[in-house]
Amino acid sequence: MEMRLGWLADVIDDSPTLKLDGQAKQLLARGEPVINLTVGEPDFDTPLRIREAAHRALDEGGNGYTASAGLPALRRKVADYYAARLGVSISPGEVIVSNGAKQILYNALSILLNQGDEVAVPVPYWVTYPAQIAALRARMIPVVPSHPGWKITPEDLDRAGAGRAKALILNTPSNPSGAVYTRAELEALAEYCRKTSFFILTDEIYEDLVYTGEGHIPLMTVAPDLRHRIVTVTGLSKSYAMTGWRIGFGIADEKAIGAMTRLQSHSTSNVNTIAQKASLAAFDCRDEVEAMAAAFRARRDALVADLASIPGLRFLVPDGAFYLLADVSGLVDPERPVGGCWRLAEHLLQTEKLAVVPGEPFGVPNHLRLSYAAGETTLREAAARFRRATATFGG
Amino acid sequence: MLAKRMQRLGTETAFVVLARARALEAQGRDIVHLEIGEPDFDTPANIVAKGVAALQGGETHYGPAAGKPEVRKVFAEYIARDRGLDVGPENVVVTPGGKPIMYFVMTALVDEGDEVIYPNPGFPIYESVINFLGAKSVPLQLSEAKDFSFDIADLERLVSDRTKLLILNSPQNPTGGVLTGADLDAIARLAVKHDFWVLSDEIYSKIIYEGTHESIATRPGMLERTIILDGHSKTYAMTGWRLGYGVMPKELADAVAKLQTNCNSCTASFTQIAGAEALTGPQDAAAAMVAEFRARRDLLVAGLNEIPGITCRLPRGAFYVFPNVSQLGRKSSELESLLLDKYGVAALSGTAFGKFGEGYLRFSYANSQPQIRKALERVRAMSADLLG
Ligand SMILES: Cc1ncc(COP(=O)(O)O)c(C=O)c1O
Ligand SMILES: Cc1ncc(COP(=O)(O)O)c(C=O)c1O
Repeated sequence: MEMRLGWLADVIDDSPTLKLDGQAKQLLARGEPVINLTVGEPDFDTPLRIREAAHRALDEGGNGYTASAGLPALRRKVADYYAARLGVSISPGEVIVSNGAKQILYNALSILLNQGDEVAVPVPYWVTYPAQIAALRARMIPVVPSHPGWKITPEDLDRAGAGRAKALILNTPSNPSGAVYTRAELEALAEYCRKTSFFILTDEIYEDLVYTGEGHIPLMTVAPDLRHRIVTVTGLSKSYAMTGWRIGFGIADEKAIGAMTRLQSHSTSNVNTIAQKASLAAFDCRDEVEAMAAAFRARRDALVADLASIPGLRFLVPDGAFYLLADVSGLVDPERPVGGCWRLAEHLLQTEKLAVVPGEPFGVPNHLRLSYAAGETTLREAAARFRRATATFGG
Repeated sequence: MLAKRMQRLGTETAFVVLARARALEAQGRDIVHLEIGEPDFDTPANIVAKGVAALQGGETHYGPAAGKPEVRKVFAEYIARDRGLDVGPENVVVTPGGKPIMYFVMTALVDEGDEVIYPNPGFPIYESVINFLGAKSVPLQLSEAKDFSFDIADLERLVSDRTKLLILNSPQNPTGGVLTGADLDAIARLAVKHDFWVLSDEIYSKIIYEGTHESIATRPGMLERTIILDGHSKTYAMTGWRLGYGVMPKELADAVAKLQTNCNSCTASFTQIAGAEALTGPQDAAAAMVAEFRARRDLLVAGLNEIPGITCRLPRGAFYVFPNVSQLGRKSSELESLLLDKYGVAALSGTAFGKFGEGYLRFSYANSQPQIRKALERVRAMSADLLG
């Protein structure tokens, strides 16, 4: 029978990060000594206290459906914790628990966007943003930073025509660039936002992995006056090494949360009750979070030191998350600029069994994203392989 | 400010009634809960133990969108064995609950303007998602006189050249009805003839009291056009774990996995491992639940039929009864409120499941026999007051 799939299945593309991860895992399954720097998840175990809380929940039973927006106790805990971090009062009704930060984004975009609406997205962007926007038959306005540093300014927004957008997505710290916005930079962006009426989805999932003196600045702290237009997207995946538990949090105006909840009650219902109960213990694990953040910082320093001297490779030292975005245009044949990052990624995988992600899906051709969610020895070996591979790369 | 499609989204009334019942309890009222479709049993111990072990063993990371390979394999083998179908891991997508299969499958298949035929009364999410996607929802009336099934001619009349999908649900929520083998034959012939897909919601496949469950996918020409929805919520009392799966042609499975990649990534890893244990481990706990459900069903149906103004068929599956209450002379929604507010029984109006639910109430018997007896006394009191 002829497959008559709807429009959406055509529009949505595989998340390329996961796809490459799959290829590398296949090589690994064959026993090849692959170093996999593709995927965005901490290699650490979830802190013991959280796993113990899950164990208790499992032993106690009574793990039925919860309200679609989440366990009341968890919504309260999230509200209280983020009230302190974001510097505004937050009620449990302004919180939703979803299957990862990804579903928070999906919910938020779904309740906002009509067909043909536009969403301003800074370049480079996490691959899921354009995929979700396309799935809703909305359009992305890419906002290209005009200064080095992978951060957009009000002028960049203006030039891109972001004023007509229905929503703006910000992401600090950024996947894939590791860029972290300073307070002053966010204040300038907030000033621009005050002149518009769009919603601002601020993806702060890497909020605890920041290596600057100033640290992470939540958008809400610089623009509490815009709170009815801000959706803060966060969760436990990265900070607490809980990617496989699927716990994301959305913090927004009660009306937006209500709409997101209604959608979620149709698409998935509540998030795993056991994972929700375990999450109640997460905010007590700040020592563990800090220890992991310190480890990521040390790894970043190791990787940066080893990559710095590779001829033709250029990059900015990332200030947050666990990614390094390298400009490889110096390695690519100038006669064949198109697809250079894919050719290099393939070359790295085939000759040196080093898996990295091409920049093109993130909106930056001729770049590669290296995740440093791996041990320092592994990272040093990865850098050595990278160096060797560049020597044999034909461009 | 919100997107237009949000206006087309309905609700699942069960949770609204639950919230009202809880509010009354907070005021000190005693309420018998017969509104929620959730087993009152604990998840069997072997499954819980496997979940604990998975967490200790580091099952805390992302997995592939379609599900962990070893889990897809177990689910495929189970469906192959249980339904007698030639399916493999590539046909399986694992999701956080059975519900996402509805949402993703319809999102992947249905274009604006397409028509989807769905059972009415039926699980309210079907109609709501169809409307949300901008498709046309075409209700297929299930009637009590036909044992909550339908004549094939009724269905054929609803089919048009825009019919993209038919949703079936057997054993059924809210009526407990079960499609017969002959029904499946006839529906299958129609689906092949008119070339539409079938989403076969088989989440209650193991909660069946007479005969055994059959999937429409076993009929000629159907495997390539059927999506089987199944999951662990009901059979293994795992509602809060959020574990379900769909079995479908590979090309569609790939599309559904893609959707999951972009909406929520994957299903919690430890839950998947525990779910594999559920299907491969001992089944006696699940069987004991079904035996208890059967005893409750018999108690509830016999009790309802003794109450003036109420008649109730004996459902063959699921854990719901759908008594006819039209003789009580009130609309179903009024009875729902009256029963809760005045008599302390939380049940659902038949209209929570669509317009053809008028004249009925739904009672879930996922509650103990003493609670069911108490509910019966209260319903009897209501009947006596109404009929004078
Ligand atoms: C920028 C960004 N936002 C959100 C997420 C999603 O995280 P979760 O696993 O909580 O859905 C990721 C994960 O890769 C990410 O990189
Ligand atoms: C007919 C039917 N299908 C699917 C579901 C969804 O179950 P889950 O909790 O696994 O998403 C239900 C739950 O009430 C149901 O009644």
